[in-house]
Amino acid sequence: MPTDLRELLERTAASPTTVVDPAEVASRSRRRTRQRRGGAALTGVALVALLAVVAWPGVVPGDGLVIEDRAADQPDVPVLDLPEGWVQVQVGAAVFGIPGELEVVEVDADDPLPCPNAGYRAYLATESYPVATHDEAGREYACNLAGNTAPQLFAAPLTAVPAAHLGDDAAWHPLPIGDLAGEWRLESPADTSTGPDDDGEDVADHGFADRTAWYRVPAVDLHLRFVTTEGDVDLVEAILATITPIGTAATGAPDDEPDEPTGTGRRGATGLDLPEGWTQVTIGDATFGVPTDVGTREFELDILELAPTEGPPCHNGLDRVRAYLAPDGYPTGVVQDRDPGGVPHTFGELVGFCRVPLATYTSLLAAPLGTVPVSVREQQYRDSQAPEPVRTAVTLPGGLRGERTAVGDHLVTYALPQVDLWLEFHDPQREPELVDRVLATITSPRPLEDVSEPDEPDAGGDDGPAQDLGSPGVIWVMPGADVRRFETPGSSLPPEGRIIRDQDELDAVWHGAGAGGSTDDERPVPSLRDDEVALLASFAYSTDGSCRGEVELTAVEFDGGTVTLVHEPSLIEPCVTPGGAWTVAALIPADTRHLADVVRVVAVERR
Amino acid sequence: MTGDGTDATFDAFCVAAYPRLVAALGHVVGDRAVAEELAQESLVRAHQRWRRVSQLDSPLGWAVHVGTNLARSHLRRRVLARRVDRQLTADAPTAHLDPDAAEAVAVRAAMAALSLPQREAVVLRFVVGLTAVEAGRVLGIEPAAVRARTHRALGVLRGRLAIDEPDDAGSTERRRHREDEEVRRAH
Repeated sequence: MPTDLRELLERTAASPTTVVDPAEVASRSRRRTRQRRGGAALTGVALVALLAVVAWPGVVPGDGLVIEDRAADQPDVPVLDLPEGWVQVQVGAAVFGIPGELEVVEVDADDPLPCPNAGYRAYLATESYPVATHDEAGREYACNLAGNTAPQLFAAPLTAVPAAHLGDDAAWHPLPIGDLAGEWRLESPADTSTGPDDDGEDVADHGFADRTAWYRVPAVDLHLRFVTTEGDVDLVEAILATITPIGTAATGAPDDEPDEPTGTGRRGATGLDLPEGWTQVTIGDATFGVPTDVGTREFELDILELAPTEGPPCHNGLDRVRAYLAPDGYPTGVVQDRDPGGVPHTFGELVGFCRVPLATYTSLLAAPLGTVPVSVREQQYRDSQAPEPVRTAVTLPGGLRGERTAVGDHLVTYALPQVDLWLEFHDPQREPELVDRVLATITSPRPLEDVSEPDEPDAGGDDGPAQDLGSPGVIWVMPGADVRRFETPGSSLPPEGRIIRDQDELDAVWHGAGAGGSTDDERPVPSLRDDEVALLASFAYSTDGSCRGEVELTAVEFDGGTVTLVHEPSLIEPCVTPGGAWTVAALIPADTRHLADVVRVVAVERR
Repeated sequence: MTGDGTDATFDAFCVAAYPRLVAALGHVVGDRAVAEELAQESLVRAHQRWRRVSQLDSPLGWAVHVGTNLARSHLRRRVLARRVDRQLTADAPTAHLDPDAAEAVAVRAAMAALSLPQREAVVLRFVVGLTAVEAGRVLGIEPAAVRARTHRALGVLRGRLAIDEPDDAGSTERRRHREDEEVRRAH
């Protein structure tokens, strides 16, 4: 007897075995916050609770946590050898030391900077930058400047600081900080005018202009701002000297756990000979190496972080780490929860909040090729001012063949269908050698498919029974060779392409194949010109009742010509009929010999 | 603020949401114990961001999404990986689970046949009671994508469960609107 799904799910839902205590949840939340900011090294720090900010009492790792905190995923935090009385703090991807006499104050994103009256103070915004309104921030900042003669330190993750607050139009100067590349600048007198203070006096007149120094260290996602007196220069330099990336000088992992850096993706079976400090990852069917000196992490969905699948890729998180790995699928989105507004936005509004990546080093995003939306592969959402993509066929050192697409100097992508791998290098010009080194490490765990010649001269017209689509399959069709079939390892039935050369045949096949999808046989048969051929690509679906395939058909320009799609990609709906076959079509100039550069039909199994 | 320093609105949300979170996440991960842990963790994260979360159309939907993401991105690779994966496998032992056995096991097995995004869509729509538009806001995707996920999920579920739930993908706007309204009224 059929039943309502809602009722069924309600009837069979799990019931909690315990009653939740909101106070305990809140308490755990606060402990979690403190643990993230503190660490064992902070035990004994003088505690000061001011307003709604939190000081650190010292935390027993894991105490009272519901489950492991995300911080537990991080590489072991190094314990610094600090001067007597200093404490270790963590902001961004760095740890550093500060004098113990500094009052340590956490600053929440929703709160304006508190206004101290006297004394040393270190404001730490470990997750985000305060998002007080301009007026509030100006008033509070003015308060800080006017009310203190003691040094103030403000620290936040660099990527959390809005570009407007960084003053990118000001002159930044290179500054080596240990082994890290940093930059610094002094706030110009004009910049320091934050509006009148409570007495109606502009704070710039207080003469602090030349004593506000800004530092940014992109490699460890750290932004520091010092408001100092002249005698504190040594203190600033001493603090800077302690900046250490998380993940270096780390203590060993427990014996019962694999010593695996955070977010290395799936471990490859192939042992690669990688440079020191690199780690081996597996994405798609490829194994390759990526550097871990800055940071490598699997792309994680924290909270509402991804935009629509077909949305414009806005990689405003790429500056946080050097390599983003997405073994389970291409992350097309933007970080919604970290914009200054703090409220998740709809897609349309979201675009306006994308932060500009800090192009201070080359970033890599890797994902299985089969999961990358067409809009991303074809750079359809690139900025209107961006140069036209330039596509070239490439053969990598290991023999892999694919397509390289460059969009100006700031983006280079590699589509490697033989190993189902997609690589995006953002700002490759920063570290061109990094790109070459990563590409040189790419290997396939199995013998490569030779895509240069067709396996079978003509696979068309064989309407066999529908079979499981299996793993993502990609076909590259070349009319000059009639048809090209490329079977992705693991796929029991790859997509199948067929070239139709005359109108009569097309008419017959069109109606017979149910072109356009089994739910829509009413579309008119395309008119085939003498100088065109038609490509029909069929996809068989699972017969076991599940429907796991999606198809996308796209075209790119070639030799000055353009492939005409019979159906716009947007009309190609995903898998509609279990056990059925589905056909998409394109009209292609008949003399095309290198259609691999022209039409790409991808069947993707979405999981 | 309450006497213990918590926000009264959060307290109310916490108490009301927890059972529904466990129910929803239980369908996502197929394990009540894991669902309880995920639900608690989701509430902790909601508390940390309560000022913003409380302004959302569906804080519960947000919490379900957080819990699902945790199941996907965090727990899976950590301590609970094997436990969750075992539960997500259709042929996994289920005898230790709820005593209402047959029906619950069938639902669990059917849900396990869905991809995680599909499972999440089903839960948001049919357990939390969000419309496609609302679920889309929670997930950060277009309503059409929610409908597509739901459509595919229902296709799988129909093959495994005797349900008569109308499909909503591929329908006209009027049907979609009506379906959304039905979901809204039902909750």
